[in-house]
Amino acid sequence: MMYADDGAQPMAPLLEIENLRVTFDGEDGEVTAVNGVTLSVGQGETVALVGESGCGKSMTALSVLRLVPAPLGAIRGGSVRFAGEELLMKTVEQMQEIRGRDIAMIFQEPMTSLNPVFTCGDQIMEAITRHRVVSKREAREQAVEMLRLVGIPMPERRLYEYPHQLSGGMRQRVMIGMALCCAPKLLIADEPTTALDVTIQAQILDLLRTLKRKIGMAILLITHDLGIVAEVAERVVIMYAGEVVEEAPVRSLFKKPAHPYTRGLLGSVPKLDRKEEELKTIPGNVPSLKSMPSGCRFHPRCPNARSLCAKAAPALLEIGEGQRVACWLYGLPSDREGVETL
Amino acid sequence: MVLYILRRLFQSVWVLVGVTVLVFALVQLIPGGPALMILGEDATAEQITLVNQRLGLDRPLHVQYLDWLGKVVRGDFGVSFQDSRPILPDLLNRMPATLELLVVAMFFSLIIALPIGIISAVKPNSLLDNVGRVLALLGVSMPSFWIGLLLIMVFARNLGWFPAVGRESWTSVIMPAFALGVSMAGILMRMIRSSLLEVLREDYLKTARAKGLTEKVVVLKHAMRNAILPVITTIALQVGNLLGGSVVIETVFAWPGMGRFCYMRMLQRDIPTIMGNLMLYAVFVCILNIVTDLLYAYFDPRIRYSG
Repeated sequence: MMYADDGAQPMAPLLEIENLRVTFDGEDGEVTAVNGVTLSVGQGETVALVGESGCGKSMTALSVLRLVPAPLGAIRGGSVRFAGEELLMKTVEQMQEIRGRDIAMIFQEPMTSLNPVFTCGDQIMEAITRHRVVSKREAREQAVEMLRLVGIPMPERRLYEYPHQLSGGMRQRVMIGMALCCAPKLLIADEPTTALDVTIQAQILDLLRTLKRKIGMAILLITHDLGIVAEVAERVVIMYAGEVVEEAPVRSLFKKPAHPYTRGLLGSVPKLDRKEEELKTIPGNVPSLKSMPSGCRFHPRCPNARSLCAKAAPALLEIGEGQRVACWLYGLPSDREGVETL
Repeated sequence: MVLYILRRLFQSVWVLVGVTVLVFALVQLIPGGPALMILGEDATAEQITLVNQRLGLDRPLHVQYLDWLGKVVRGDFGVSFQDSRPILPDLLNRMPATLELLVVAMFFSLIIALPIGIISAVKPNSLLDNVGRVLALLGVSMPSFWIGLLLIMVFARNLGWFPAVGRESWTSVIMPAFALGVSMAGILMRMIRSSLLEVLREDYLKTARAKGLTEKVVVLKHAMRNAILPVITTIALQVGNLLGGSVVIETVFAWPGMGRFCYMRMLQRDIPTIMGNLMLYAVFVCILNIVTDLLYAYFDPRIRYSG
């Protein structure tokens, strides 16, 4: 079941990822970057996928477009359904049709995500003509319109400029314009503001929110910044070491985070109204993919860990309205009544 | 852009001036001097003085140099020691044959190097990549004259497909050009592979794929347009080597170009002709460098707009 931000209305799922497994061929053999991830995004919904770097959130996103870098990376199992259709069964050609038209993606680094040897206009027009039957003139007009829509001044002139002539914020706007030119149903935004100045960040987030309303698309926002999550997301999925550990409507998550890792994440956000000697951190390090701890992957760093945590991995359990968590704190009858037993 | 071209032209003038100094110095280094070479070992002192006077070699060096330079600038390369004919027309007559050889050699090396280089980069460590690696090694390590001799033996003598020597029919150019182009193909192939491999990791290719572009467009348009820059540099550097190689290849195939002419005049110690030849080569390489820079600016807008 999916909930909008008011937590009441169920929506038809647009994207359903189920039990996704992505592996990578490393120097010391195969490692699992994404391990049984399940998440969904409803029509017009904004879902934030949160986690530290290397937790598999970008790989999960790339899997949706089937752009996991081959031959080292490979989707090993699970299912990715978009508007009811299984994407993992599509042919390469069918996927190419879907990319950019139904599902678009923007990336973290605006400085390197645009091709330096083509003009911004060429790159946007290319995305338009790839999926729509339009004349070159119509494509150009639509490109100008997109640039105007993403708030680029003098769009007619910018069309003929190269990426290196634009600032980082402008480039990210061009990226957004390019991604949205075919009015996709889903936008995957992989850390779209991480590389930008704080003031520009706010502008870009604003822009995304406005355009989302205008186009009516859903957004899967990948970030490690909880401030951004609070600002734009309706639902949050927290990932740790390749697995989903908690999923909740944004308000529930900030009000009563359930997983010890989520609590740690929220606790490590510096607060202005509290006097703190030191920034709080989660003790220990993110485990490397090569040597994953047994049982719950978070247990070596968890303040609530018990002997069971090292032995068996907890499954995602629903603990409240739309809130699900994978933690033995909520999964044992002795700890909590009414939750199903092992 | 105009400023950029003008600046490059200005730089080329200084390169050419440097070349004239080197070429002129070369003649001074010849033991015994030109007079002895013209007259032979048994020449008497009077004869040598006479020849030196006639050739103006008794004047101070800088006067000789400036006199020669002045003439060269006006297109007067002097007359040959060998047959007393003006040098420049003889060289220019032979230039088209050499240019034809170079262009076809370049064409051969590109049609060999481009596809293999691209496929090797797209599928590194595949069978074709390994085959390409071996071919490149062979191409680089086999001397071009030896490839030339092999070609003559197999395709001219045994199979009779191509004429062994000369420049009588349009098929004549194929074997010498191939022999000349093979070594360049080896280097280019590896250059294209490594350059493209690097570009294939770039973020903007992820963007291109996320737009729904086909792999063909992603590699041949988005990646190659970026990967081609270092390849252009390599080509420009290699053409210099190609010129040197053409002297040998033209000799092997009796190709009536500047290289063979230069080789024969070298045997006859016809210094003014060799000097003229070297000067033309230098001018050619300079022009090529300017063309390379222009191509660079064409392919990379970051250069175009900063110059």
